[in-house]
Amino acid sequence: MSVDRVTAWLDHLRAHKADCPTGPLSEEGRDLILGHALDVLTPRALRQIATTPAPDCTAIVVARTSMTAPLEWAAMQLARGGRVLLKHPSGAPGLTTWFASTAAAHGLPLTATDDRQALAAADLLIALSSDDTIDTLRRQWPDTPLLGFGHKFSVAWLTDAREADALAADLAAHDSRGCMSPSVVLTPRSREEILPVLTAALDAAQARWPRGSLQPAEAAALRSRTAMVRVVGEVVEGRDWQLHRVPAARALPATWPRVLQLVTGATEADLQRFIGPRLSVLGIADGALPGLELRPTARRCPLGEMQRPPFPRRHDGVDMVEATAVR
Amino acid sequence: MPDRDQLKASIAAYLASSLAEGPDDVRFAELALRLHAWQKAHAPVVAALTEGTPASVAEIPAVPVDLFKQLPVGTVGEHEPCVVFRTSGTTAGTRGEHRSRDTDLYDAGALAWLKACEPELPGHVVALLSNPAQVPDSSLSHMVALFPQLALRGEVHWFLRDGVVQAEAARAHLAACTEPVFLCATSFAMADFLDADPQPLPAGSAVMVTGGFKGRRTDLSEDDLWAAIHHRLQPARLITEYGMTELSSQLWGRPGTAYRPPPWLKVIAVDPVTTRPVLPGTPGQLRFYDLCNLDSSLGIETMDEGIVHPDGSVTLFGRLAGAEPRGCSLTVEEAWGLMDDDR
Repeated sequence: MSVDRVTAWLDHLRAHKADCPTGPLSEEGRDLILGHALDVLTPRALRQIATTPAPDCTAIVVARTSMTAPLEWAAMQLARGGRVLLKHPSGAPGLTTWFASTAAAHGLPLTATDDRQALAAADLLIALSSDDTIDTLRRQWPDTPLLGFGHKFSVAWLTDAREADALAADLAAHDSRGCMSPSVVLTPRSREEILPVLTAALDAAQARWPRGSLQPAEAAALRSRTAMVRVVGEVVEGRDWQLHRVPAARALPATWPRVLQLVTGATEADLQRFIGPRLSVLGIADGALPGLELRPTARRCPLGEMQRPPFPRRHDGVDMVEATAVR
Repeated sequence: MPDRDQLKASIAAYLASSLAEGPDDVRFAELALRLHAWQKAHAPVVAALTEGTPASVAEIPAVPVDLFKQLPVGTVGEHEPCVVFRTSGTTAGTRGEHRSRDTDLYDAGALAWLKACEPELPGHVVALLSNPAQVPDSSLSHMVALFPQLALRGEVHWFLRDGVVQAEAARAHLAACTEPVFLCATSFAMADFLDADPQPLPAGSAVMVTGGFKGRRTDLSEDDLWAAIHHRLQPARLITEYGMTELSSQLWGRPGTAYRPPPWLKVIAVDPVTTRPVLPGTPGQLRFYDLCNLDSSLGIETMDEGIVHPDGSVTLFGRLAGAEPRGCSLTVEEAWGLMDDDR
């Protein structure tokens, strides 16, 4: 019963993407990430996870500008018969209110609020937020089980120029905001080999999914980083995208909107610098660097799949089905 | 460096003349363009950010403040003797460095402008700050150490050690004072001091506070702090200062009024996305053009939002909106922290 309702709700979302707020994204960008989020939430996948019940009430704490991230968690718990509360930051509901209103129209107990006290009703807390927020939640609700997913980053290893379009698609999703976006792209190829291909791919991605708007601080931070790279590396600018070629030691696991941070002539040792507990996704071709070992918290996938995680899965090393079932 | 000496002399002359005769936009622009051309020739960071030859002050590139944490900004060579002021520590431990060959312009400007804005301040200075003998890289301590010169007598007593306000010692010192004092502190040091229940200051005293709480106190607003200072310390004057390690000049104000920059510091508010100057009286991202930044960068781009009024004074709003717009990805500070060991 619940799975059917959730399926109907998700079908509604698929059919009415245009009703969804764009937030800082363009309409095309919004459709891209909604597609990514909805594609994997198939009736089959939902039936598969619905065999174990959810706690009565799961509250999902959503960070500012996290758009589709709570959807899979909400759909999973609703499909298992639970109630879901989406707690968004004050004044920044993102897509939560749209999810809640459309779900309610399908008889699903999904609500959205900015009231922190509403978390008192939760039997399980899922926090997609900063480490500070997760620590605060742990202190404030010490008796409520909490799954905390803090800030992470992702990197890509590009060996074949034919993967450039897939990489550009990964970068375009969410306009590079978010932990699954490739913050640094390392390639053993030379600048001359790879730059023309990447610029063409970034141009094509921009044409297909135009970048949305920038917040004031975001624009200032982008300008600051661009200035830095002008001094230590090379900046290639397209329409609403930038490619920052930097020495490996200057590459940072942080993202700026539609910025591809590139290390050319990279070695496996350069990549190893990023392999740690904060790594979320490594985008890499099948079979490349077979000896490379990742921590269990990281996901390895082909380029083009970085922003399209499977469902269900281990999220940051946590079995999302097992960890959210009634204990 | 003869070019530098000539520039320094010209700027020093403008400091004096602009105070005596008022600001001269033409002279400021001429000096600014000369200084920028010299910095472009001797400062690789400034050169890398300059496209063509600017024709006006607004066209001179403003170096984002974050670059002071990552690169040697300015004309001072790596092994050249210099004075280094550093920003306070961040969560990632990365501190910005402002390097100058000397502090002559800094000192002259700081004293002259404070005297112009707040004449006849007491020479007995009590600072809830680190002693510059122990912390020589604090520009704030350096500035406050100059203040007794304004009264031509007096000294500074320092009451901050290892980042902790020596509240009891400061309270005892102030309780024994019978002459007016000039009490100087950061906002959070002052808030900590007020928690120690100090007595009112001697009649005719002045208080200076500077800076925000930077996340260290969330229980007190700026208005609350000012009210508490008036209530407990009862100073004759409460003065506010806006300064940055990356600047060599300061802006002064009173609670609830706009900050006044000196004539040798021009503030421009720009649209943070387009970088075009906004109309006077309109909020924008603040850029500073400080002639006293001789050895570093004339233009500085802050992450602060404010209004530049038609008379050049500045109302500060704080950080630009949307300071953490990155969802679940790392902040730049976190990223620096993560990679710091390798840099």
